[in-house]
Amino acid sequence: MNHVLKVENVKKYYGSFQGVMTKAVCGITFYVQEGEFVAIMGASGSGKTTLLNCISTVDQVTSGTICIDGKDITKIPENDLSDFRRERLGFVFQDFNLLDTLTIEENIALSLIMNRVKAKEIEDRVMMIAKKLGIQDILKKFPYEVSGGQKQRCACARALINHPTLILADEPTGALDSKSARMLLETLMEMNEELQATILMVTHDSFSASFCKRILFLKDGKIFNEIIRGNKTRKEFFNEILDVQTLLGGDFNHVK
Amino acid sequence: MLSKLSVRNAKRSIKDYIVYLITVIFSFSFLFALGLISYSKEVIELSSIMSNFRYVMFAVNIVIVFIICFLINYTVRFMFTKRSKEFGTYMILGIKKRNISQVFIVENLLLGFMAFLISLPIGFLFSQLFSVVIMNNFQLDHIVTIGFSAKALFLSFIYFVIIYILVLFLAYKRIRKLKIYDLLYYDKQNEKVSNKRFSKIAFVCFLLVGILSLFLFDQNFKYEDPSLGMILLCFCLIIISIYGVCFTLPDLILSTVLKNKNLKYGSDHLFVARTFRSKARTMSVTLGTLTLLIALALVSLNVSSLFKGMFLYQIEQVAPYDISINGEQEELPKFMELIRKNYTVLDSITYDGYKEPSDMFLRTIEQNGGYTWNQGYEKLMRLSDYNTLLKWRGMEPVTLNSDEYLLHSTKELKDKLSIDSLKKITLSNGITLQQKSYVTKKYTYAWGVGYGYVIVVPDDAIQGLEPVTHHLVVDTKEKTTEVFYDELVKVKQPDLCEEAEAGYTICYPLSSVTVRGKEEALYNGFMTITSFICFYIAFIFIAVVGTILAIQQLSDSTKYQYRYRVLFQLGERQEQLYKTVRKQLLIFFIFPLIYPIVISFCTIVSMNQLFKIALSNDMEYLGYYVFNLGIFLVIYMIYFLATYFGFKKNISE
Amino acid sequence: MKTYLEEKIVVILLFCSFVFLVSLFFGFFMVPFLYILIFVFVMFGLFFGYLFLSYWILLKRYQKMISLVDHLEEIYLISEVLKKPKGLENQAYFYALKRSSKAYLDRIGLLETEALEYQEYVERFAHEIKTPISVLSLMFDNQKNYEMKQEVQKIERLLEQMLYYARSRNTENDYFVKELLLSDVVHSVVLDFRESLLLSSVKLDIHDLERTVYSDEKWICFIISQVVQNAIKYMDGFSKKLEIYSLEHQNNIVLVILDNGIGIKEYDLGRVFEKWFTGSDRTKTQATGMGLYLAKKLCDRLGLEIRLESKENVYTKVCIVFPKSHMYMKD
Repeated sequence: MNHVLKVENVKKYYGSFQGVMTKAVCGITFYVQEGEFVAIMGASGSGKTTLLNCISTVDQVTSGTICIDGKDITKIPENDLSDFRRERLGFVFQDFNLLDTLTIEENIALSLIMNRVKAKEIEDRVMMIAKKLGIQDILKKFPYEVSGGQKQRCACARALINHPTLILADEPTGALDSKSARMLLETLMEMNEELQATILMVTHDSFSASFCKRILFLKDGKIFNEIIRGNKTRKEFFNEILDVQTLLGGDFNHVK
Repeated sequence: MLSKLSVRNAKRSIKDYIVYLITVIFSFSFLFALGLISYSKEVIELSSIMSNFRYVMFAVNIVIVFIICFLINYTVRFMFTKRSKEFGTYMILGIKKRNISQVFIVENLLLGFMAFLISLPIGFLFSQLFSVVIMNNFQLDHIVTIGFSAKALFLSFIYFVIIYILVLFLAYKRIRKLKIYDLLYYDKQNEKVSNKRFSKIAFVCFLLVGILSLFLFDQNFKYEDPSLGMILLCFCLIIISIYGVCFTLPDLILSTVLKNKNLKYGSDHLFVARTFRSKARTMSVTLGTLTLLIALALVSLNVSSLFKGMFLYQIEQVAPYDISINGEQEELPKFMELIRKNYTVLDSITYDGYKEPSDMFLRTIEQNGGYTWNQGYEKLMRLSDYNTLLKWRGMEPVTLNSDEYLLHSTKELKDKLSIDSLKKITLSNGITLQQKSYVTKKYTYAWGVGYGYVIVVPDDAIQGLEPVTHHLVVDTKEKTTEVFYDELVKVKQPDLCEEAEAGYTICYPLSSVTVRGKEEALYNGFMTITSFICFYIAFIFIAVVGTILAIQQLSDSTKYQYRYRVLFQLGERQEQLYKTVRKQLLIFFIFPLIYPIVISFCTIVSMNQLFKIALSNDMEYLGYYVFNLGIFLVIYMIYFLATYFGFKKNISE
Repeated sequence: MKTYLEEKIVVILLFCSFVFLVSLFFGFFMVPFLYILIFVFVMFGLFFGYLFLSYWILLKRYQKMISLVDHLEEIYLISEVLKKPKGLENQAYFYALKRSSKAYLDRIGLLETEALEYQEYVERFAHEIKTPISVLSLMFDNQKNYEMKQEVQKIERLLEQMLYYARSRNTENDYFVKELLLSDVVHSVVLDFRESLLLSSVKLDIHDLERTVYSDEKWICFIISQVVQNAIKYMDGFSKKLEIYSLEHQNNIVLVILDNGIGIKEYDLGRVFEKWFTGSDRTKTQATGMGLYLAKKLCDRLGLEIRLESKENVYTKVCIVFPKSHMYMKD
């Protein structure tokens, strides 16, 4: 099994032009294998969104290396980064990030358009992926006409359609009601199990995290704890997550 | 505290709306500059026509003030919607709506007043520039510095006050009606992304209306009597067509893109087409108005050029020589003396028109529907005199055999006089002449022999014919003036002159005396006024269109920044992103341009039929058209570039 | 300003010659002199106005950046603070800066990781080896072999020293300030050393220690023990005396450890706190030279002052100064 994502000793510091330095990520190391469904949990300010930005090539690390599919993205020049992102990564965001002037179908097709796929292929592939995610009925509608859950599934379709190496999800259930959230998470799980998609999800919600196979806890920019689901049921795993979270709130140095 | 807020907010607003401020500053500068000129004594005295300049300016300014008011109102309303959340927050904090509206009004007033103050020195500079152009128009060598005029300043200030009273009153009313909820969620009102599509049929209908209107317009001008009612009808139809096309064309473009698979899925066409359509739908009425303004601006530019061409031609036709006089044999030396007293004479010629007792030409004209003053005889001109006169105009002399004659007339008379019966004429002294050629190029009334046409015969052919008219043509070194014309008339027929105020003598025009200076002054006056007015209107319109387009797009760049962020995150290269922005802006700027270009071209072609008579060259108007289009595009391009760079800057954050 | 103008000298010269040529051209075509003058005036006005404005903006940006660099605590993170500049050359420099900073920070990260691993190893080693040593100590205790026990204790102390040295870099984690009674602290240290003191027949004089200080108990004990260890080691002669007492002043409390040992040579006094310094007398080869160094380092970390006074062959006095903060005063 090869590592799809290798994060080694990554540090990210921010400074404002007034000189105030924020240490968002202070030395994080972890590995993600192909086909894993990993969650990164932590309170706001723990650095998880920053970490995700660094992995998704949107931001550049201060030090450390990140290898996706064997390529060290911290050493790639900026233009090639865009290409890399386009070809290898897929994104699902909290606020859907769909283009409001395009139909659902066109939104999904967007990542194919950018990769210069032939026009004939595009329609077929979009239909295929829409069927898989159960949104083939709303293809001709606009984002403002569909529910949040459907929008998020459209975002998933867009993320998936290009067969990316890694799918990055940033609080995907943040703007959804509980029913839609559950549907989405089950969709993600399906994507992971049936389509072998490698998914890295950032969330603060324990319920969402319980759908994953492995969870990394972040505190103050460092990995605080890591738990693996193994053979536990989702409910058992959920309880374990809650336990760690209460610990996170306490004053400990290390819990290994 | 509130005033500090106002000042600080005004300072912040400046950065966002620099394009708008610059346009307003320039508009006010032009207003002021033209006001200064219309109150400048030296300019007024250039020609009797120029004294009307002030009143024409006043009338035009009413339209301009209205347009500037439209622009400022649009921008103020825009600024307001952009900052509506801020005002909503103030209201929630407990600040009274009255105070908020005061803050907003004071801010805008400050900005406007600052623009006004800056425009004053710029306008002053412009007035100097304009004076140079005017002097050039009148072909005078000396410079006139336009002095400062308190009246002009006062007038400009009045315009400023009127504009801002209107704008702020409207703003105040608008603010009063709004509630907190509206303010806080104002920006949640998205663009209309409704699926309702105008059918293609609608587009075709509107296009046909436009074509019909242009056709009617053309027909109107085919005959020499354009009726005002018809013009108004065409105008209304065109307006309907413009708005209709603006409403329906974006949909048409979108459906074309969507139908063609390769087009749809090729690079960024989908994004651009969809974005454009939703934007065009949201501001469809404004877009229509902008298209209309562009059409008017283009037509205005071209009308002025057309007039200019016409005027130049007219002068050449009426007074190509410095001084030309018809008179009695005895009077001519008196004139010559007067002329010599005032000017240095380079050359002069006296010649006669010879009486030919038949009136075949005159009758022919009358039979063919023309108008003449038939005195019962034709007047003939000698070849040698004719050639001298030609030489003075830089034309090639003509040769005639002893049995040939030459007919030279205006273009209009050509179809009336080109008949076979005149091809061979027999004079009363028995000499028969064949028509060697019939020339219409560069005919001038100043020759005096015959009206509208001249019959040129070999010198020998006038044997036995008595001279009936006597002419004097003089070429002077210095330029002649309007005043001298009056002096000449005084000599000829003193009862035609009367004393007016301040030592001015006004003389009624006399057809037997032509002084180039007077014609020039007259036509230069017309020309100056018309061209200035037309360019002024055109510039203001272009500036307003450019500014509104710029503001719309620049505010979009911040409001819809996330769209570009999404594209970037999906992996679009930055270069490609900028290309997409360029495409988007181009289509947005070019869209309101295409139809007006077509319309203005057609109207110019139509109007040219009327002016064709006056213009020497049929194709001349094309040259003018391309030139004016060039000027327009340059100014338009500046706005486009400003928008593009501002847009780039906004989304790269 | 001068450097800026020098930079732009080519443009300025080109512009001046351009204006000059155009003026000549105009003059040739009989344009009135006034117009030419106006033209030149306006052109120069615009040009130099633009130059001045751009200079002013550039200067502000330059000053801001310089002051930022000067005021930044961790200057090596400057590339995260600076905004991406405009202009090709500036962008190239910025790219170089970012790349180089990252490469360096990567290297530092590597070194830090290695150091951390090493420290962990040392701690684990010290932890592991404590077991056999305590066993040995107990065994010698049982056999009443106090000389052997003393040697074992020396090993123990060396171990402790090693641990503290390894940990002295990351002291933030291990720091716990408490209210301490000096007498308690000193007594616990002395208790540790009772075998050595007995064996070396050192007379102990402890007085005036009923004073309270605020510091980390563990470290104070360690510091005092290092001093005492030295004192015991460097005493010879017959009447060995070790005096420990404290003085109170307005702003501080001073703990004094006085011995009448061989003392320290005058020219060595300045170097006693240096690492590895064992004195210019090369006969004493058993010393590691770390004791006083660590004591000073830890005193610095704790915010305490440590002073040494000595006269050769007469006495050595070590003073540890605890500052008194009025905040902690209990009336």
